[in-house]
Amino acid sequence: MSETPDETATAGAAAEAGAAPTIGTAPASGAAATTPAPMKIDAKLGLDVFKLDKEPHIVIDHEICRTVCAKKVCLTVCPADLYELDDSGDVIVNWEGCLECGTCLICCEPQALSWKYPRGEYGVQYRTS
Amino acid sequence: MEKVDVIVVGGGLAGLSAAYGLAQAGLEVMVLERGDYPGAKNVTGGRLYTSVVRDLYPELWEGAPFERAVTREAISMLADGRMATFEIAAEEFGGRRPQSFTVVRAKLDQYLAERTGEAGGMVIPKMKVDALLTEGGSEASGAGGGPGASGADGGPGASGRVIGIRAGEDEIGADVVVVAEGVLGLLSSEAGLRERPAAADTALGYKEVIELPASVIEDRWHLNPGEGAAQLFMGSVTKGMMGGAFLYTNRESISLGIVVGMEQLRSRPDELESWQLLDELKTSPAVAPLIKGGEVIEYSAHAVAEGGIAKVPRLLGDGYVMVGDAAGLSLNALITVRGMDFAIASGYHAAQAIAAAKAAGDTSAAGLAGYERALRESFVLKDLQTAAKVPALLENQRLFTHYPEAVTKLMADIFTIGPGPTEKLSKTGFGGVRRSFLNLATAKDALSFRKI
Amino acid sequence: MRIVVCVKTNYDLQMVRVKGREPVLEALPYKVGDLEKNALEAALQLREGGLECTIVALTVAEANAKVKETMKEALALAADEAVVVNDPALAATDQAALAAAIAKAIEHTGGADLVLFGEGSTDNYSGLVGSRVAELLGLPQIGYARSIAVADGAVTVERSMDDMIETLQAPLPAAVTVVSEINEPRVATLMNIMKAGKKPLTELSLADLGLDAGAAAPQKAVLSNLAEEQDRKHIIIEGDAATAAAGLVDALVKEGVLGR
Repeated sequence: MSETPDETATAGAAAEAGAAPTIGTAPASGAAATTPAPMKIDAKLGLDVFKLDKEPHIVIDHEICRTVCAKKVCLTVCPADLYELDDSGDVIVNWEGCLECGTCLICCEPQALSWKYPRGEYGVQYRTS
Repeated sequence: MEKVDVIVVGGGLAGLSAAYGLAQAGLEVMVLERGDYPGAKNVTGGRLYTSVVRDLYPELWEGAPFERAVTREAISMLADGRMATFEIAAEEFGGRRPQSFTVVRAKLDQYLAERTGEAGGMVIPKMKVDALLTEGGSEASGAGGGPGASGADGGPGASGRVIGIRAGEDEIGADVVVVAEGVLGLLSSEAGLRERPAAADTALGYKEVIELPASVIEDRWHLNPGEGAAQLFMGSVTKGMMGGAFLYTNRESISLGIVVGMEQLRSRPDELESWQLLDELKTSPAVAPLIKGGEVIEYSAHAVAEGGIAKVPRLLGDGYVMVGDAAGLSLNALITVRGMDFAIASGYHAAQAIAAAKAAGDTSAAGLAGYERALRESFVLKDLQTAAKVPALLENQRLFTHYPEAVTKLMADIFTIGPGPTEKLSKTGFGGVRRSFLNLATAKDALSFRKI
Repeated sequence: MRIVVCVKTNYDLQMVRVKGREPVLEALPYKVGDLEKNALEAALQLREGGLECTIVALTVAEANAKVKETMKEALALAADEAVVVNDPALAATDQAALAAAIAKAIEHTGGADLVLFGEGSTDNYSGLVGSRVAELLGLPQIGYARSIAVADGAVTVERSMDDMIETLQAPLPAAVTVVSEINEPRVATLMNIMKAGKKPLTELSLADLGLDAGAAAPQKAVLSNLAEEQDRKHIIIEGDAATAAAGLVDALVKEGVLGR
């Protein structure tokens, strides 16, 4: 348990950076020491407006996914990190946070995805992008 | 079936530029946009080259909600904890007619939608089109033989005529459908008008919008008020994959993001997740101070067409034209990244051609052929043709590994003193050049670079 | 008969971004309020149930181009015609002045046999305007309606109370305020949106209603409208489920929430 996860992570980043300039005996300074830990991807998605439909707009064909797909690229290509494995090892998609970029659709070689845009009035709504 | 003159599928820059021109020409035009407002589903890296579109609809740009005129351009190479930046601030980039502006799509697209409405066009947001209707319900076909393919002239093909759209239960007819649905081309590929985008020809772009006060932006990037900076990063930021990072200064925010080739992303052997690239960039010592104190206010992602002219589909057929990203009209030439200017110009030329076709009473492919002729004569297809070899060049991994490593190493060596005795500068310089730039691989690269 | 549905054109609150502790209202999109959509749907269902009626959507708002656009949504959803009282003086007003303008506008545009409201607006949810309008027009008013039926010159309403459902009847003309359980509003179809553009939309100013700008002056002022500041502890418990659960129990005991 850590009450200050940010500090721990920052210390880690500083150690990793390693190249912080040192002059004489002055303590290490530089960007790394003041750089906050990266935002979690969920926190980034939390900044966006999502209007949720009742039905998912991405549906995985688990039969194809299980039998044809050797490399689950969906788990790594999605910029919103929406794909994950459930307890039984099946791929699931947390479509609610979808940025509608289509990367999973284009990258899924076995075409195991039924992928539509959400209906009008639903899905992500960008304000400043 | 209810019918209008023209239906525009998608209210982005291409669709709205078409609709604006059509409304001005007095045609009954309806734009269907699935976002809550135009721009709500759109993502730009951030910059529009106005230099090439200023003369199309000159009245539009004076009051347009641009963010900053880009007067400072920089390209940074990153490798092994080093960053070497080449920067140019040029008066001719700014002045009374700046060559480019940073933009925020939610603002720019709504502005164009309002102007389109004033001109008499109908822009309907929150309305998703579910299908393109073709004559006899037959699947149109004709993907492939685009302007990039040899000998195609955009003449009538085997496509069933596009006669309208379906949205929910409602079918609406149109003499011409302007397909401005964006890069994924879901409807047009379903209707057989183009192929689905392939991973090899597509990149993932994603970004954060980070809020910073205007004065901080101007201080940090050495800008006069209202001026902006654009900075591209290449090298370790994409871990050897095709792509790079971008930074654009808006009025009171910056757009900081990554573009990375989907094929490289998906064929990586490791577990690297796409979204992690940006976090690594943000926390790198060279970039962290640029965004220090900024608050992330939005996170967005979009696919980017990078197939170049070879992947541009047939641009028109009976009853339809393709514009903007839906037609693959975008260009990543490494140092310049373009798409919105092509979108606007293609929309403009589509409008002119459709108006002429309507006036002549022929909205078949032959009647609409003026659209492709105009694009060929304009910078759109000319610039794409000029850059025809670029997509293949970008597959050269050395661009994203060897060269950034060599350049930054050379620069660092030149500036390094101690601990032992220091070489003559000329020796360090020439040694570095000989080691990194004069060998068989780089000689081959030099040959291929000449093709751009 | 004539059904007037009073529609508040709201900011789309889902789109609000909070900067510091203040909402950023610049360039926010508008929408028909959620409960007003229920009221429009209720009117539509009365007609579909066989009631011969004209459905009028009425809004009173500050002069803003977006308001008219938003009322087209009401026309696409249910209404046959729209009345927009659009006056700059209404930019800063309160429920009393709004109710006065609505009552005048109803009288001015042909009256109403049934006036429908959402129980409260999506933004303020004061729930005051319906009752005030009813009072000004001298109409019986029924709130919290979860169903509405009209027959023989009377409206019959089931209303949701905490622990029971009450059935009330009032002679027409009457005012009814509805809650979200009453129906599931449909989304506007493309065809209906296209037709909406051709339906009549009457724009009025306060002066057209015989009111001066002073009539819109608020009788009360909102001095502050901020969320309560909360001091959170920001404790993150990491580890696998068992470790995290144990850590959570420890933390809750330490805080005095558990045990003792």
